[in-house]
Amino acid sequence: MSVIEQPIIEAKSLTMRYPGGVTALSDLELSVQPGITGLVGANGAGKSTLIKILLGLITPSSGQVRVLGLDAQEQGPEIRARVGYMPEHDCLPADVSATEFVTHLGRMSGLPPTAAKEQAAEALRHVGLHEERYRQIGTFSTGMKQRVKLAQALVGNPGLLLLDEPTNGLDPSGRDAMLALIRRIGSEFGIAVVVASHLLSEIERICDHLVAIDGGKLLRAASLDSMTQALPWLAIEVDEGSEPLRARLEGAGLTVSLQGRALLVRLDGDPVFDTVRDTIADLDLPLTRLEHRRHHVEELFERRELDEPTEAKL
Amino acid sequence: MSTPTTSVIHDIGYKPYTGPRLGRGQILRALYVHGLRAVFGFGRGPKAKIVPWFVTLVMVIPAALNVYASSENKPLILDYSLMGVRMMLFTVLLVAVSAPELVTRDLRHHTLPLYFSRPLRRGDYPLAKLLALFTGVLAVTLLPVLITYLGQVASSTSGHMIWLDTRAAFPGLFVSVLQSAVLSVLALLLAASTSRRVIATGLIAIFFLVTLAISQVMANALGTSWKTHQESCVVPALDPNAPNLSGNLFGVGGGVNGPPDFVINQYCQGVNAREYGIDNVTGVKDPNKPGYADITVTYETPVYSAIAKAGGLANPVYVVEGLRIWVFNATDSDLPNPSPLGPLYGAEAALIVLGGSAGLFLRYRKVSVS
Repeated sequence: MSVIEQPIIEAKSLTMRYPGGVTALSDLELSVQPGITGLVGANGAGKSTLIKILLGLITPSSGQVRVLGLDAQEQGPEIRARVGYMPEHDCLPADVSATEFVTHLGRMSGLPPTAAKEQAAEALRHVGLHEERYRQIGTFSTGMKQRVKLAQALVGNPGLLLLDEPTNGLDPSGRDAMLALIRRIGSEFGIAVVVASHLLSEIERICDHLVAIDGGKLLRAASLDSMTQALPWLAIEVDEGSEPLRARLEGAGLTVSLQGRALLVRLDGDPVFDTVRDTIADLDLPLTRLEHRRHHVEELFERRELDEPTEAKL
Repeated sequence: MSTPTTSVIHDIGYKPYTGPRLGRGQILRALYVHGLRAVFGFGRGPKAKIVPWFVTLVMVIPAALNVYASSENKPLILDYSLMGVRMMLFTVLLVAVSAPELVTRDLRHHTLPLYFSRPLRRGDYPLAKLLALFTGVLAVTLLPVLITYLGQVASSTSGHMIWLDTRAAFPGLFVSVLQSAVLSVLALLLAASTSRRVIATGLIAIFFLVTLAISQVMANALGTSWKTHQESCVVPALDPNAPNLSGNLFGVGGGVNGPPDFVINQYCQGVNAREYGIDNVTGVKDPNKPGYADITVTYETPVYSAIAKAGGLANPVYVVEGLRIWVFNATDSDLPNPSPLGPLYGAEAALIVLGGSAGLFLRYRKVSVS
């Protein structure tokens, strides 16, 4: 398993203005490390533009990008030979078998004929389509089609995978399977993966790092490990009397915040549980819910205005 | 919604690929070969093979008849130079089916981002497709020329006959190459304008048929008048096959009550007896040259209106045909000799190939990746 010390992707003051006057990226600073990185942002945040620049397909208005140590503007073809890309939309012909299709695209990645066949079979096996590989893609379910899309990106052992909304159109179990597959590719295969998604709750499950962009700017970049350290919270819901409870808990030196009907208490150490139990008993409050909770990363990105220790700089 | 596949991921580990990686040139070649196979339906279902192989078969028919004719020492059923224009509907059928197969499918299924996220440059994709279709059409249109030529060579008795036949086959090669280029470029340009294969095929067929109709109406516009020419020349008064038949120039047939065609062709410059209708031949014995006669040949050549001469410009196949007539000064065609508009035909053919290719490349610069 190759370990690359330098950043997989490095963007410096990257700006992209389209001729129409639309600014898709403005002064984006980005550094992506090996492992699985989630790229989150609403539709129109600049994810697609960033991917196109990373593939060397469009030239940014200003700034620099390096992908796998190669300059995206100068060495586009070299980068594209080493990067697998899985587009968001449907991109598969219906009347070709999965093997033929992936083999052909392996050839297009620069594999010799025999190697392309072998690598296509390998890639399809890794995504779990070994038995079905001779079937026409048109007969595949949505989940299987997503796997073919992943296989074509995987063929030829890329150094980096760019996955654009890989769970699009999948049902919950298909989603789980796809995420597990990506996790496996990122951890066991040693391939750096960038997963673009607008569903934070989904990719936080598999990512090592998260990058959020909004309006073409870097909103936040964080390592998920550093987040989870700051993450354990205890959610308390009481039918009544949450205000006095909050006052008492804060009086006891705990960090408390209000979220909806629940009070979130930061778990600094063991005594927290005891303190909470005793406080509720003292106040004689009707406790309806006590939950050990992890923050959804979504909240991390949204709750910037709160001065909570929920983030860690990458 | 679908349930995920029931197949199991067998964990035999991931082995990174460490073998060679080919450069852009070889990837381009792979795409070209892939496209060329697709033109003939290889690597596709059985249905995709019907039209290309039907067209190929049809193309072989006149060639087979030609081979039979040359083995019997008879004139060719279909001359080299006319093969392109006479078989044009089949060639159009081939490009109308193959061009959408090459480009429309990828547009329909949005497969292009998968190509453009690979080492190929934007222009490589249309280049490979264009070369593939050109090669395919060239192979099919050149097939009858080649078969006929081989048949002629096989039944030749002298090197000179082979040389004459090679010269006769050259216009066939000229038409085949130009026609393939013009048809491929236009068909691909039309096919790349839509993502529906049926529409692409329809567009191509309609484009060629409508322009053909316009071209034919124009070529016959204002009718054809005939210009009468007279040519005087001195020919042997003897029948070369019967030298003793002295003086009886008009008894041996050929022409119109005159000496044989080849005699007129040989001695009367400007008269092509085989191709111009000869109205009349009059003659008397040459007083100064014993054994020879002074004859006057009266023949007619067609005169076309300027519209008729420009008619071929409306249809790409006729542009090539008009160019052939002009370049080789041929008189065997249904189309008028475009002279003095010949350069215009040449310019249009060049414009179609170059401008059409440029249009195709521009088309693929615009295709989005994500």
